[in-house]
Amino acid sequence: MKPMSSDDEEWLAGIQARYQPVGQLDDAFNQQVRGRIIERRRRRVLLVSAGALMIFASALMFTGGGEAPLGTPKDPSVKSQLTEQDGAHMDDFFNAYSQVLVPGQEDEGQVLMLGEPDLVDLELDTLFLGVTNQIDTDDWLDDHDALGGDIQAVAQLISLINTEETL
Amino acid sequence: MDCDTISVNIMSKAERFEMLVTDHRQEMVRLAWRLLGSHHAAAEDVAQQAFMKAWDRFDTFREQSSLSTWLTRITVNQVRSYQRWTAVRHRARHLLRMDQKPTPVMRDHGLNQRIETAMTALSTNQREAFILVYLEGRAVSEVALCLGRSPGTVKSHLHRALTKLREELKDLKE
Repeated sequence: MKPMSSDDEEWLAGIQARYQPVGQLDDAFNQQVRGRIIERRRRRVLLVSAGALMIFASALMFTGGGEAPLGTPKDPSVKSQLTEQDGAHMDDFFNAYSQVLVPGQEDEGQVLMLGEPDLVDLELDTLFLGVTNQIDTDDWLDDHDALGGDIQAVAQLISLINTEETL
Repeated sequence: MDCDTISVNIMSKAERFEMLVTDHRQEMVRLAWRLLGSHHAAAEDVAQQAFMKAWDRFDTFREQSSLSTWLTRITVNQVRSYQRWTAVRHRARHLLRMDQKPTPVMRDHGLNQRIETAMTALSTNQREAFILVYLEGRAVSEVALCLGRSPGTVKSHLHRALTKLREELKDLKE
């Protein structure tokens, strides 16, 4: 690259000095980054849990869940395969999941659909992690091992998701 | 003390990351501000997103490049992602004929506006190369790494950008 003329250098220094934001950032910026990391993790847990529940409900169809049609998460015949407590959890998560996807709630829906493609690119194992963590029943794993739940893998995943951010 | 020089053995991940943010926050916000076109709120937003990505990948950083180069690359990608995202939103709003007006953007005025207008006339490649090399003071080889292009391509973009801007803003002097 050719060296600049002194005239060009002077001109460039003028642009450089003028074209920059005013003001110094302080530690509030760090706090905001920290808060966003924690919030992102919470949101990821929520989405993972919701996704896992959808897979869980679907899987029930293939593992003795009965004749209930898929696509309706609150289908009573699907819920009947679960304990009452598990059913309540499913309701909670599906409700939360629909809120995430409500159009117009940009901080939620837009993030999932446009801003954070990695959030929807989740591995099946990770999805199972969410549901097992949130439903919190070891018995559930035993009862539903036909879903492919590898106890050790799930335990590792639960441990991972339970790890509190240290920030 | 610069984060690059701190032994990983004496500081926790969180402490190292905190220092990384403190050391580079001004630089990354300024870079995002310049790339996005003097939009301060968006620049801070994008820089924070970039730091979030950096946190996610902090354990995988292998020091094949400096932390600053690594962060710059993440920030540039985040700016591109933000620009795509706003373009999609803009198109969606247009397609859906949504009536609500977009949130007004608080921009800096005056001379900055002239510089901004001239910058906007550059292609994205020219703009990125110009800002990173001439305004941020990075070496061409480093910028090539950040942008994922060859040094020759970066030089070519630089030359065109400089010629255009020099013509548009020839009356500006320090």
